Amino acid sequence: MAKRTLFGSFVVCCGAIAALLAGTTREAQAQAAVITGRVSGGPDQPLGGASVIIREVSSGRASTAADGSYTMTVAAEHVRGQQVTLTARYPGYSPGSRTITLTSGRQTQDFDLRADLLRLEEIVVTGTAEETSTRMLGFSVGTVSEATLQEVPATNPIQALSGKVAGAHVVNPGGQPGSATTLRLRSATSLTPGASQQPLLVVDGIITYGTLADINVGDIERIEVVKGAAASSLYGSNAAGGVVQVFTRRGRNVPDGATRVTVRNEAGRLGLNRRLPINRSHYYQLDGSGNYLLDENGDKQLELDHVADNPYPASTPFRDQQDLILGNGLFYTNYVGVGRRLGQTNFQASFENQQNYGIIDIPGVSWDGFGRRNARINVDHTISDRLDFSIGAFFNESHSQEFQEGVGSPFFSVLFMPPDVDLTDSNTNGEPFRADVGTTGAITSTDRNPLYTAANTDLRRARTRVQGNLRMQWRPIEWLGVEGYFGYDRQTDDFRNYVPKGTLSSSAVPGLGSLNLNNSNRRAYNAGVSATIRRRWQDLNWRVKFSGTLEDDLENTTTAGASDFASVGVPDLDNLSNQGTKTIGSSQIIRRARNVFAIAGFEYRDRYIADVLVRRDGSSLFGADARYATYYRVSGAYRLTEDIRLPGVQELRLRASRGTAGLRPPFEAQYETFTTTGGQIAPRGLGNRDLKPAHSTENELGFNVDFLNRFTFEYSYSHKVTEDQVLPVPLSSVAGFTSQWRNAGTLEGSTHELAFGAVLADRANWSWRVNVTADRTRMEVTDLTTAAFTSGSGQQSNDVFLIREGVTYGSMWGYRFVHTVAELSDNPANAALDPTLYSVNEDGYVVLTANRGTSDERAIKYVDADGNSNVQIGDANPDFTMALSTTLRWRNFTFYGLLDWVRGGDIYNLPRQWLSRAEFRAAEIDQAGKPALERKAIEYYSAINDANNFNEFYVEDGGYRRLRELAVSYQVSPRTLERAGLSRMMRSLRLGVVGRNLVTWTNYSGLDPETHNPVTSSNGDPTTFRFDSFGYPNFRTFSAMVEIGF
Amino acid sequence: MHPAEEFLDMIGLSRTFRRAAKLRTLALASVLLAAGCNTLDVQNPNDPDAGRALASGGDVRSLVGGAFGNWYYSMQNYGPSTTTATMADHYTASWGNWGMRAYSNEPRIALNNSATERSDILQVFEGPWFGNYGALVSANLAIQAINNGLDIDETDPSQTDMVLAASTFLQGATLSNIALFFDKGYVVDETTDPTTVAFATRAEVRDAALAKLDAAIALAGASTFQLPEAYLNITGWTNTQLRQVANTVAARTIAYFARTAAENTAADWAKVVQYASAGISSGTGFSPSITGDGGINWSDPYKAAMEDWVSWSRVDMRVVCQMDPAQPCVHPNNTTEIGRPVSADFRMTGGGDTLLADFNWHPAAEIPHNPARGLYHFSEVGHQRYYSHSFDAP
Repeated sequence: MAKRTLFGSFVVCCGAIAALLAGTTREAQAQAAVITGRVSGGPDQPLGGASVIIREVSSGRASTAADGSYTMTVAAEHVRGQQVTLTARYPGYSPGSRTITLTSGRQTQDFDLRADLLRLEEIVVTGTAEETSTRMLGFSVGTVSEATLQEVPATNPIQALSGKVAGAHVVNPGGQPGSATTLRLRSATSLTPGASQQPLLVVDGIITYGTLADINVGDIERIEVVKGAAASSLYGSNAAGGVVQVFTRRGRNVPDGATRVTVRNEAGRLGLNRRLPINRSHYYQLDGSGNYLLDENGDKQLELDHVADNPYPASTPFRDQQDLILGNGLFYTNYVGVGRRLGQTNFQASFENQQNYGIIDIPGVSWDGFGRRNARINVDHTISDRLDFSIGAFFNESHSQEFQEGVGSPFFSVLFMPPDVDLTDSNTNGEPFRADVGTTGAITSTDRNPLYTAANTDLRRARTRVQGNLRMQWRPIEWLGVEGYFGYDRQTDDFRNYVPKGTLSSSAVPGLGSLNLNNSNRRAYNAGVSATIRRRWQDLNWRVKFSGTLEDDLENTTTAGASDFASVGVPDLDNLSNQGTKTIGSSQIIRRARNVFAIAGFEYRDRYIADVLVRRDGSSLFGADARYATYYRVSGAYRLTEDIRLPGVQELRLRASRGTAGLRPPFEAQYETFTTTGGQIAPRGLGNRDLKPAHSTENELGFNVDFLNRFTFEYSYSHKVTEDQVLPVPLSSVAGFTSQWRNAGTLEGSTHELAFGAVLADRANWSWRVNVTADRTRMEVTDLTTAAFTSGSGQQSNDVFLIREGVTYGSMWGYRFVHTVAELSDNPANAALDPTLYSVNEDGYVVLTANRGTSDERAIKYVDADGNSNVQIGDANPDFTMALSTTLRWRNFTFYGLLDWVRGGDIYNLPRQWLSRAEFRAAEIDQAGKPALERKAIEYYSAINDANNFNEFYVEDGGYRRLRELAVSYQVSPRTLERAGLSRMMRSLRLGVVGRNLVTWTNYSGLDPETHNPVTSSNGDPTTFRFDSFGYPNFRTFSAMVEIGF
Repeated sequence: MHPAEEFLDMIGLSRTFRRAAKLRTLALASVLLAAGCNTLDVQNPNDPDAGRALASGGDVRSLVGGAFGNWYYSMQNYGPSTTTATMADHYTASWGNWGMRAYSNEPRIALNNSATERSDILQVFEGPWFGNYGALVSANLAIQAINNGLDIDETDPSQTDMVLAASTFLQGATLSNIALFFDKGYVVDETTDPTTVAFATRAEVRDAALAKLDAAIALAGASTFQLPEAYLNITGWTNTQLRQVANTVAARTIAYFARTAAENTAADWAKVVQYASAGISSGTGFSPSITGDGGINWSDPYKAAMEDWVSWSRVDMRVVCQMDPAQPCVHPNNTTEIGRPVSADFRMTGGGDTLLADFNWHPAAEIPHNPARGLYHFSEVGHQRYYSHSFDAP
């Protein structure tokens, strides 16, 4: 019912606008002004598809044909001999503007645009009242252009931001094909357990809460990024984390009358650069022949020193079992885009097919990997001088066979398998991969053969996505614009986890089988109307925009599970034995919002810029007595070089902005809840009618300077204070309810960020451009009115990241060891201890000297004078992040490279800790080659493992430098195409090779410094919580690409 | 035809739009009105609030059912049950889960009384606290509802008596757990103002528990009723059996309260005998063990975990050496087998059928524990009496 009402209202609104137009445009033909001309980007370089506009006049719009020519007819009613500004624009070029006198009759105006290699003249709309030049903003907006996006097309739009936008922390928490990339803009804003720091995502005006992994980058024209409340206040209670807006390609830049077809194919190979280092030695006695020394019962004999320093016998040599799972895979992408512009109508349609097999390569097991198919069409139609209509539709479907991740997965058990057994051995029933092969090695394991697990667990996910948007813009009078829009996003996600009946356990016992289904669908609408008044009074340009918006979001999830099948090979919920069990569950989440805002912008003499915004949000997620929240923004900029001439400086702009935005509470947070498990009722959550959204205030200061005609530099400082954090607060036991969601904390963060661009050469035959982005972010929990808690890693009920007042957000807490003999006496329990008996060992830990080199050597846990042993052991926040990208064009060759640098920041290496469990597979346990006195027994490492309690031993420097993108392409010249007889078949041809994540330099000993915990609802945000836990590792790709234009 | 009309005609909406054109000003307003149709006051469709959860007598009966579950799992869940079992050297396990390894460490370590302790260990201490008080508050709400005149079942007046007796029993049983597990606690019932409660000593909590159990015994003896099967998933238990359970819990409260020899001596053992004599072994014996339903709603995590001798836990050698004094009380190492305990006790021999025995023997080579975590975790004896007890459907 709600759907019909909202959509119907929108259609009626658009109809009204069209009908209004019908009565107002018929008389506009006689005595018109006709402006003709040509737009070029240099000699012999016509720019087809360029737009030419007179902003002051609603009918002042035209676009160029393939030869760069245009004709603009301005209706007579608008022709009064007045001065107007005629502007020509084309993506990648600085716009050309000139003042002309609008008179009846014909006049010619040609434009020769200059390439904007430093992207100084970009137009943005995100966070602003209307299209605005970045020169006229009081805050920073990051942009990524189509040209940059297409150098090395990323796997998804978020990944495409990596290294290209200062302050954007892009992390691929795992390499599972089809998985989402995570993003945090500047400092974190949410303390809510399990919350991501993801900004609000908008695609062509559609507010979307699903993954952007469904969107193909080939469709994207540009991405705009606003990084916090100082800029994102326009989006209110859901935008404290910033906003990322994706604009997909449209046909408006196709030359008038032309059709442009682009076919792009890329195919390549995937691989992993490294393996996790593991222990290559064992701790059993060997005989003179190098074989195990056996006792009278045939059992191996533990070496007296308990030191793992013996090579595996030649008959059962060491093998790195990881090689049986991790290998090389293939991927390919096919993309076809068709754009056409004819008069008042243009469209852009595309289709993409992608297949990615990932890096799972198990002998004899086929792996379907991830397949995605996308289709999109965008249509723009100018109904009249005063009315534009746009529509867009997107469809996506994907299927993936996922590979289990995390503790207990094959990524886990492969590391515990004895290195001297053959994992490809068959079971006694003939099935491949002996399930209990782990029990047969020299150092056995209770884990199941990972090859068997992979071959007998079927995880499949199918996703669909439908997005649609409608937009109508009406200009009833010259200074008034009215706009209505409607966005729709629907996604379905069907997940199946099937374990066949008879699947063997780790001890080779046949299981009963199970099937678990998790189906969810979510649809969201957003719609709005706005009116913008744009006037000029002497040297003051001002505009005011009023808008009302609606959001309606419905999410349904159903789960069903069955275990203990009756028949073999029937994955059906009804196929149960009489002992079988079924489980079902469902949930529905409804989110609604109504918002209004007004924004006013002022530009005085093009140098004094001010902007004021007020927004009021109502949301069903707020407590019943706190339904509405108000946000504001005040920003200003001063283009100093418009008043003061500075030698060598073309533009110096100072800017400042202060804004507020919010974070909406989780759906269930405001409600009083009782559980109804098994028909029985029990109190759970005490409701909170006063629950407010978290409230973020950001102050941003910065400047932009363009100098020596070839350099640009942008610096911003951001300070975010996010109060009223939405947190579950434990209650007194006598309340009956266990907790209540309250506004109970403050998180502060500050970021210094910079972006530098340089055109080192710009000549006809070659050009060289360099861009650098960098930032340093610091975060602290400055207030917490509930008990301290831990968050972030979600491991076996254990979290290493502490949330406590006065503590760095992202800091790791656990225990450390005593590093100096003097520290021993800090512990009151050691008062009677003789310090002369202790010394510092090779790891830097204090041990009992007499035990050094024996199996009794132990590091000592540090305890302070208050008896406390829980101390900060690490900080996941990097010292800084930096990215360097360069584009070098020589003749028809283009070289592009992007180097990421994350300096410092710790990672907790859980795999290493697990590998010091009973099997002792961690690399550091291998003592071969060490001096005899420095060798450590297995008990030493087992004590440090400490049943996986967090400690400093497993905290590692997570800094890295990564050659993230590399591309070399060759654009075949039109002359060569003609000589080859291809010019009739194709308009352009580009050939290239592309590499992603080709090389990583790091001291981190894990598989990948970017791969973290598998992303689940309880693990929190990988951009802050760097915690390595047997995830699907990121991998490199190397591919060939061919792009043909027709 | 005007281009706009042409376009509208093309998409088949010209009639609609022409009609709408007469209402131009209202069209925009209609979008805003649409907002009014979708109220921001959204009811939670997933979990009820008090108004929906406790709307009828049947709901209050279910509330007490939920309280039985809370009370049961507060002590029988993995935390604290596995932890206390290993702390007592009853079972032994070297796995870190729920603090089994940490709190059975030799020598013993102090409790880390911190809200940031790992959550499985927090469950060991918070589970009994919040679980018992959650059940207690539900019982108080039920009694308040009855005192305010609520009929649990208008067709069966005995159900009101049942809920009153069961709730009173839960008041006593939960306070009993608090007194046994903690050093202090809150004494609250249906008459208490929760904003003014103060800590009471464990002895005061014990006495309050006994008073409530006495009241429950009286109520269960004053009328005849049957408890719902959903109460602990026990079929057909009655007021008589509730009375037996209340007596046993009361006996347990006094008997287990002592933490020192002096307290043990001071215990009112006569009272224990009195209660026990009317307990679950009296008359027609009654075993109130719950029946598992495959772990969906009802299971026995304690037995499920500690009976897994293959890879999880064993019987501590402290117990083994009491059964067979020839066995050491600490395993000497992880590679040498001590051998099967020798005992004439049926629980060890099964009368010659090892499947009937409570204990079984497994050679040292099968022991999964990590020797570096302490040889005192090693044992060659497993407990099998309740193996598969709780996760198997009846």
